[in-house]
Amino acid sequence: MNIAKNFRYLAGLSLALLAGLPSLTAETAPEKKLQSTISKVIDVLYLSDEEADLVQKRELILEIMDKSFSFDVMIGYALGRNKKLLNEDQMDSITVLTTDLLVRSFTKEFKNASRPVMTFDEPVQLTKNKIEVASSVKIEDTEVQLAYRLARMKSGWQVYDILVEGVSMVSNYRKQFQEHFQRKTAEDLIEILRERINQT
Amino acid sequence: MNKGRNFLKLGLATCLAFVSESLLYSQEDYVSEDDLFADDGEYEDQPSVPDPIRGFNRAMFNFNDFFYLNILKPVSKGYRAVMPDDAEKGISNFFDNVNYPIRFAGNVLQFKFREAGQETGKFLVNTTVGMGGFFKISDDFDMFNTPPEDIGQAFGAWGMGHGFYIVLPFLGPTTLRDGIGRIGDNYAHPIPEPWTLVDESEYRISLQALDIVNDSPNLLNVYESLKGSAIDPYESVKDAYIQRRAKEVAQ
Repeated sequence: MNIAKNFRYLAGLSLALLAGLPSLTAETAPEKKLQSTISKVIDVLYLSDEEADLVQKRELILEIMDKSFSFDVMIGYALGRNKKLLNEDQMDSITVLTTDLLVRSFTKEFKNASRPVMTFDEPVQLTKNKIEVASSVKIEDTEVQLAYRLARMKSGWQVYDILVEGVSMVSNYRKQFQEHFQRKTAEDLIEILRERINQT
Repeated sequence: MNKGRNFLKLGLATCLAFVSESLLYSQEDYVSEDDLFADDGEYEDQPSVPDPIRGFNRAMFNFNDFFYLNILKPVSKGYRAVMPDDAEKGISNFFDNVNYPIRFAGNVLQFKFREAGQETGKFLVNTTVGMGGFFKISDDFDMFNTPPEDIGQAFGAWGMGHGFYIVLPFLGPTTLRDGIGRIGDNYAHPIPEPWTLVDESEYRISLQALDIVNDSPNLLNVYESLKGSAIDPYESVKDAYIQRRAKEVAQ
């Protein structure tokens, strides 16, 4: 009787573990996860105005991207040693505002344009836990080369940099932050970010 | 009874193997935030390119920004609206083909003779089979696939530094090294002076304007996208230029 009970318990446990296996397998195909995220973002971008207005679209996009894009890590690295100059509230504000600026400028690019055609290359292994997925986005006649760098982090595969026509966005922001903090303060940066968001 | 116990042990061992594998996986096979950018030389801070004429450069940047968005963009939009896509592509291919002497010189100056040969082959195929370069037949052959070079890149490959950053009116960002390289490119190019193959100056100017207008929609889109997400658009475009040139030189 006991054996039968234990067997049932073991079978249940094994099934539970096996059920968990697909998530492990999914982690071995991060490019698929990336493609799915980008596809979902594009779907949101092309929802009709009745289905979602621009503000709702941005919120939805941020929600989708947040699962695959490590914005806090990207912005943390871009800030570099300047992080020491910031208190926790300032750090949070800069992270939220910079992410918002990125998402706003991204959504603006697609406004009134026809649905883009995305193509993805096979991933290239950069190191043991890092890959790069090159892609091209074609909107009408314009084609832009994008490359996503992903790392296997504690939370799973996450995008930690995007290269636009070979230009690393993380390095680009890092340079801008370095120049900013040579002459101005964290409060000035927050103010500039708010202004830029209003302009976008 | 013993059989049952052994079965139980086996089952437990299987379960433990799964659990320990996933634990091992999560402890060893991920990158910590601290190490994320540390093990990649590409993310090491490079010394800044000096910007001693920042005031002039910023003024030129604002002038170009106005020119690109208020004059060049509407012109290129109108051009795109009336020009059939195939013709636009053909014109782009033609100007790309005409740039061959610059790419050839860039390769030779870096002692990349194989690539210089590839460029020559590409030019010959596109000029003859591709009807004067309007059709880029070479795209169908991997043997002609080589990154474009110019004289500024050759200077970079020789170890010459950037000098300092300059924003030129209409032409945009460059550095002292690349600006000198650009003068060299003009000598190699068949359309502009001094060694032009086009006698009439009106034709020369028209051809150069057509090249700029035909190419501008793509460039303007990248420029606008970079500018839109920037905290300081001037610094963002400057860094983008330096990053791109560094990669082109490294190729």
